[in-house]
Amino acid sequence: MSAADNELGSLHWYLSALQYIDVGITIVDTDFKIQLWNSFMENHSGLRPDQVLEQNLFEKFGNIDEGFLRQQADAVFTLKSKAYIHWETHPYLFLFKSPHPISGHSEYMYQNITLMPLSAPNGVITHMAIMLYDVTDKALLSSKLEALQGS
Amino acid sequence: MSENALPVVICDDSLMARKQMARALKNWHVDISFAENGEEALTAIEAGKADMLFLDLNMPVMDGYETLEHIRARDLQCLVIVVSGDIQAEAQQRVKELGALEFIKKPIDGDILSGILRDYGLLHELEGQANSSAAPQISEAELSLANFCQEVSNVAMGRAVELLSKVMKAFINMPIPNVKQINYAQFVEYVEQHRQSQHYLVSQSFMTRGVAGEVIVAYPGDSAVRLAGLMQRDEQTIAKDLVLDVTNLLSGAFLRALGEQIDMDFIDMPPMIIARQQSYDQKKPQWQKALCIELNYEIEEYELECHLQLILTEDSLPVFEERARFMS
Repeated sequence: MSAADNELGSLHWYLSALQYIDVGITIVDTDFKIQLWNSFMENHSGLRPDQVLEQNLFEKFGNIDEGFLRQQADAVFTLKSKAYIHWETHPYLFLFKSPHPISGHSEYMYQNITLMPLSAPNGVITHMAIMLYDVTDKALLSSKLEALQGS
Repeated sequence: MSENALPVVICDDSLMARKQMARALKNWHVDISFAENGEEALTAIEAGKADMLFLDLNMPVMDGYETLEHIRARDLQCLVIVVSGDIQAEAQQRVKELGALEFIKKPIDGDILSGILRDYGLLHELEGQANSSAAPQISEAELSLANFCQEVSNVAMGRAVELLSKVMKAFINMPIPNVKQINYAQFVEYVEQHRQSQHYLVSQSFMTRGVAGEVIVAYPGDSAVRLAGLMQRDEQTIAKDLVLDVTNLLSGAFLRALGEQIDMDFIDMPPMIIARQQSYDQKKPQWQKALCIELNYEIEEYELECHLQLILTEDSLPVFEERARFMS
């Protein structure tokens, strides 16, 4: 096996890991056109990549608060820094059903979101990654704790 | 119907399986009757309707093994080809010892079937024309979602059990999956009952595009030592670790096999013990109805019995219905 084959091989693992990781990964360009939609997003939304790629994020997902996300994204694109959205103030960005649809106690998935700048080889920020973490269990636990403290 | 067609009985409790087999035989010169269990098959053989019998193994009333024993005991003249989803080596060996001629795995592959029939020189192939008189018609409406789930579960079960028996190095009695509809109150009652009787309840969520659900497995509270034996672990292994690991194996093997058949790639999440302190609010149901595929894994060697339920959300059912129409 040549070095190039090796590199191709590891690129393949690398991409597979990103594809199947237990974290939602969406990548949009500066016009909020969806450029990448990993398997987590596909499975929880029920939408295949070919149904969302090259589509505008806000047109495809009408319940996303556009003004709010644009504001957050502005910082990402201009300051090249990450931005965070926390479940306590914004329970979800994408309205997904509960990850435990039978035994769970919530109707939807609580989410923490990290917005990450992605640069082209020349250093210009051309894309933004939207990383979505499922924090439903944590959210339910802490609301239960609060209820206990309140009683 | 032509005079010299070979009388053949297809014996399977699943309508879909009977239909698939009948279709696989459409280019052969046969006269097909159906039986839903071993008893019906024996009656048909005695009535002269079966020079050849295609026999499933896991059936209610009388299973395939018993049927083979009866055929031998009564010295019935009938060639038996076992068609089963249970493809554990031990099952194959058992049926051959009981006098079966061949073993074909489900789902039926027409080429493999034709190869066997030709090898034995048993049947004459029809020249270029379909045998329209062969199969009694089965109406499409009968092939409901439950039927579909039953059959794909049967086949999935066979594959899962074969893999599990290799990993666990023990023979697993192949359960007959039971498909039923359940509502929230029934689910809550199940959970509460098992909590009161000190069972471990483990849940593993799974999903794929448009389909979601959970696999829920119940273990008797005192099964830790036996589970440790089964998993070839130290007896000191923490019970929670064992039930989580075994759940991951049982549900993983079944989900993978189910997914292969219906062409869906299920993604599963880490299993978790359904926490004891969480109680369900019956007055505020989280969901209305769901489809439940229920299995009882029995591993005699370790005196183990685990109850597994694969529960699909109501939203998932239309996707399954579409698959059922597409595949049957």
